Amino acid sequence: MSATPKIRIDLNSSIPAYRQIVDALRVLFVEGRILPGDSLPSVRRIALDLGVHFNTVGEAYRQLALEGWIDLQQGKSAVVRDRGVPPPAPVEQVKQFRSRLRAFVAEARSSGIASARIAEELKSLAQELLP
Amino acid sequence: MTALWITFAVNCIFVTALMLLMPYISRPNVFFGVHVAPGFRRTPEARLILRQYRLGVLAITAVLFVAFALFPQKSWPAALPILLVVQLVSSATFFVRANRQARAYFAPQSGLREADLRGDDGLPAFLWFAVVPYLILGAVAFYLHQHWDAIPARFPVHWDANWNPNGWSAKSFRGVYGPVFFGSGLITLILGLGIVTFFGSRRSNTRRSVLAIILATSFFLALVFSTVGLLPLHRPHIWITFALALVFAAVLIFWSIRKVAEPDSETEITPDSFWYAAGSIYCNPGDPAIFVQKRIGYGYTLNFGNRWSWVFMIGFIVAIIALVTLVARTTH
Repeated sequence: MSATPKIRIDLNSSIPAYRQIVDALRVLFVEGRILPGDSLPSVRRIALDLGVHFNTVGEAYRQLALEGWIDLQQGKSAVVRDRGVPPPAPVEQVKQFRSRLRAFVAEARSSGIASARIAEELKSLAQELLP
Repeated sequence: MTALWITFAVNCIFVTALMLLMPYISRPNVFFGVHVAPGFRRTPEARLILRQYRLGVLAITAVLFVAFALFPQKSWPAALPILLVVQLVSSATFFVRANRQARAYFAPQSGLREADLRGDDGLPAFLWFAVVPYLILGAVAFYLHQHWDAIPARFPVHWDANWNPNGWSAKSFRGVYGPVFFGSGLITLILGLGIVTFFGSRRSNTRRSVLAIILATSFFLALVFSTVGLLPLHRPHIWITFALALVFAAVLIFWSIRKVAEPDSETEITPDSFWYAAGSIYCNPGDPAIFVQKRIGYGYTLNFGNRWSWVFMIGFIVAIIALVTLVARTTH
């Protein structure tokens, strides 16, 4: 692990805490700030630092294990897997992402962010997150 | 009787000074245990709350001094501890009142939480110095062993307020080595407390500082129990221990005020609604932390909403009682 990456969540957000943890960790994996072979802190430690229930972090780790990002073994710390380049997503999944993005873009537009700015931000993010 | 007066005055003034300092031993955004907006302390509302609190504490002190003087001298030894308890309770009541007043100016906290993804960290290396207090007490035990023949059959171990001995110990294994063992046990307990605090709280620089305070306390305890341990052979003036304790407490308080006043002093985000009783008792069943940073003073306090806090607290109390019971039988 280079530097010391951090995850940040907002307990006042309408997004569930476990979802925020999954999203924050996934960004770090994709950005390469946490590398395959790195260990993640224990569920207990992350829960304690974030002030959330152990089950919340446990659920987030299980979700990431399902996505193939980490290996979970009883009594051992979670280890980041070498996931390789994922196969192209099926059409159905692309549709799902499109639907989520659509809702997100609509939210940004209704908050007063210009379409051009949204497009620029999305393009820049996609480039930043290139493996 | 002059000694009793001095004891009362010193203790009473010390408690008063401590209570007057209490509102200042908090981070800048915490006022009487309530999270407030930055700069609130300088507002007329805050000043009014503070003034009323100060007046209350000073009035109680004045009343107690008059009450002590009015008591017949014969009853002074009994009146002294009672009046000090009355002072503590009534000053705390004023603090609770100020906390209730401050709640009207509560500022909502951010829900942002951050977690470092470096692995679980270990204890700091400076904790190895914890061996030194044990070595000091071990040296005292060795000294006593070497001078066993010079120890009288009966020696004083306790004095009344007028410095007349009122408790003796016999020349027995427990009588002679009891204080050294008690000191070692107490040091082990407080170091254990420090280690549990380190692993049972959120990661922050405060954890290291608190562990350093606990280490310093173990050195202080080693000095106190070395002095007590040497009583069978030497009579160090009791004022030395008393002065040492006062200086140690004063340094700790001064250091705490400086630490919490630091501009980059970290404030742990804990919801206001879970701080009961004057912002000093935290009870949040949804928070997995056993220890959370205090809002008044520097250091940690238990999260009474966590069942492990209760297990830990009861275990600690049982261990203290066991230690005291073990040594109490040594005095005759």
